[in-house]
Amino acid sequence: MTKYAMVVDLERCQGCRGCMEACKIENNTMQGNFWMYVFRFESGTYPDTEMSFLPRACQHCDNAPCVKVCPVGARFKREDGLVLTDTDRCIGCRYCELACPYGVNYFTWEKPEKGQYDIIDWLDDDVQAVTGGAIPPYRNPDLDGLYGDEQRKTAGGGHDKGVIEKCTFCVHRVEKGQQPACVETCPTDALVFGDTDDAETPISLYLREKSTWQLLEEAGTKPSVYFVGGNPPTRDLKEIERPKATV
Amino acid sequence: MTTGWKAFIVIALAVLGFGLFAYWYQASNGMIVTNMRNTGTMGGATWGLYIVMVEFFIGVSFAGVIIAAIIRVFRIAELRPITRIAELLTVASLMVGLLAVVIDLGHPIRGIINMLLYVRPQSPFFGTFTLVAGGVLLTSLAYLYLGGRRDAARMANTPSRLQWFHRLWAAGYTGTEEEKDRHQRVMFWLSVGIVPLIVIALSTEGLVFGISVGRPGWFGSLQGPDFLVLAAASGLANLLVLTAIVRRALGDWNRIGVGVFKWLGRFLLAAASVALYFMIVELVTLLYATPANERQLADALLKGTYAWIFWLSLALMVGGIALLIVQAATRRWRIGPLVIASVAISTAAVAERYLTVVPSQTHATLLPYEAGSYFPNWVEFAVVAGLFALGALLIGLFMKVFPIISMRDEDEVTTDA
Amino acid sequence: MRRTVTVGLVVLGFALMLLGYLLAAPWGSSSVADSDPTIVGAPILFILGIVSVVAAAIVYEILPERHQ
Repeated sequence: MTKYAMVVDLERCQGCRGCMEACKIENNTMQGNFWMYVFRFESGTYPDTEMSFLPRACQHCDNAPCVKVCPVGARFKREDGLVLTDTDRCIGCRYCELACPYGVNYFTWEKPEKGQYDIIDWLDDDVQAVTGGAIPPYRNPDLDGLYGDEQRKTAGGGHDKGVIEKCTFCVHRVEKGQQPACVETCPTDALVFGDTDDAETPISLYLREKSTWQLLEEAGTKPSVYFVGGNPPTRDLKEIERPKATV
Repeated sequence: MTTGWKAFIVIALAVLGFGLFAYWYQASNGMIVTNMRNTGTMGGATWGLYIVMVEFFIGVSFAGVIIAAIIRVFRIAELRPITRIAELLTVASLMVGLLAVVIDLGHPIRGIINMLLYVRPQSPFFGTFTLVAGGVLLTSLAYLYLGGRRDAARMANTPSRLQWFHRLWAAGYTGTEEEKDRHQRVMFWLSVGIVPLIVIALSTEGLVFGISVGRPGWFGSLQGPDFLVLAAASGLANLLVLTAIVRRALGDWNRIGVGVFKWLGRFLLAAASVALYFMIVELVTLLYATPANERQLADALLKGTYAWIFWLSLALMVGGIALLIVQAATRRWRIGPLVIASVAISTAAVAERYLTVVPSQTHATLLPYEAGSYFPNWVEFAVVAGLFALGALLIGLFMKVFPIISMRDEDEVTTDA
Repeated sequence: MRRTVTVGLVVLGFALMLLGYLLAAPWGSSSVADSDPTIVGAPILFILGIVSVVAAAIVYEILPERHQ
């Protein structure tokens, strides 16, 4: 048996948000959608202030409230612990988004190709003079595959307007034996991903040797993401800045 | 056709048409054209005015069928003329409310198909789908249909363009003693059956919020009862307004007498008082809210972004009740003030639903996301106006093809009493 | 006859609702992983059950007299 989980080592995290960037590139998420998000907090009063960071991916809960409330079983949990979304089944009611205490679900409010970052206007004449009219693919073809024993869609980014999407722990990479994009990118190895049923994996070692805590344990969701170091966030923490997240 | 009637049709069709246009705009561009956005990092509300109106319309349907059942089971002769108005209000508001659910879906067609194929009993939407859309709607339609057979049979006797329709509806009703007996038996059992059914079914609407641990202010066993109490008040208020409109439209001052309004006024006073009691209990709890995020939600409601809606709804509820108490105390029930009180209470109910649905999404999220904001935009308002127009048209057209007030004499409820 | 048909429809209706519910809910499992109905389309049975019970009321009232 395999049981995937993630460890976030807050003693190593430096708040660079490289994981957020990697996630967006890997999963082609739309503007304003952050499947991986890093809170940057400041606490205390000047000059005695302290900064802290909190990466927040989907917690892939074992007792996932989103799976429970989904009216049609589009949100499902696999034997290996991943919580995924069948975008062919999803009816777009957004109940999962409200049931989730972590705020990790993102609805596709418009056609995914319209919601991409328009940093470069590929149809612009000057740009076309350079690109020869080619418009780069905005999506990773791996995301369209059917994965797992269930052979279902897993909502890897930009599928359809009117459905819910969220972090998949990069199921399309994990099934090829690779690490999720955020883990792969992290320059300080603050993110550790792997099989907790195998005692020899780095994550199992981590869990054996370090004391861990989980986000909103009191909600009873039994997350698959463990934190090392730092403190659970309180509602009084203020974010230093807010990314341009509204569209 | 009178001028008033023509004006009603033209205006209702125009509003409905604009609503359809707004929905077409939403369907083709995606829900980005509404003001709804994701919760959390986007700082929006993912359920907005549509869900507020779903809760409101389905709530309104509650009172109609309950009143109809009360009239039949307790044989309140004075209220008998409005039985069909009450049933019709239930059917129309249910249809419109369920349509609003579909409008709120990202994939409306797939939504209907997948609910039939996969709907899960673990999700409260199982109740919305099977019990509300299936059970309550079908039972109220049966109620409306069977209750109208006698009148249909009479209408079928007079030649008209709609004779075939009335004949079809009557389905061979001739008015023998045996048929009347049977009818009464069926109506009694339907009335007895529909009350627990609608209580259970509509409680699931409150449970949608009550079972959610993910939002501040939602989790709790009171959401179900709270939904019903407000449903009773808003439903009675709307029934009263509709009755006043029908009375005016038909110019039938005798059949719907002031006595009817006296009864409705008393019922409304009772229901609204209980609703106010629930609001005050909630207010007191908010004042003492201690967990950090509940406290922040309380602040947003009492003195923050949503304060004006909160205090407005409380004021409208208190004002409406005061107006009713004055009439009850002086024993002088007048239709004008009753309608004003009803509109106030109904508006308060919409505001209350808004406060249940929206603030818990934009404020005090369990992880420390910054507070967001949401207010509906023109697309959402236009679609909702279209829904109201559709409901009005359903009721109006029914009035044109069928007597909205049961015909007099051989009153099957009272004759055998 | 009338009574038989009506009672039959009511019994059939509740039986269908029960069956639909049993087949739609994942019995014997407390895992959130069990999210699909045992038989796809089980909720249709539930709805048909409701239709049957409501139809019973209508049939009871409008079924024409046989003799006379």
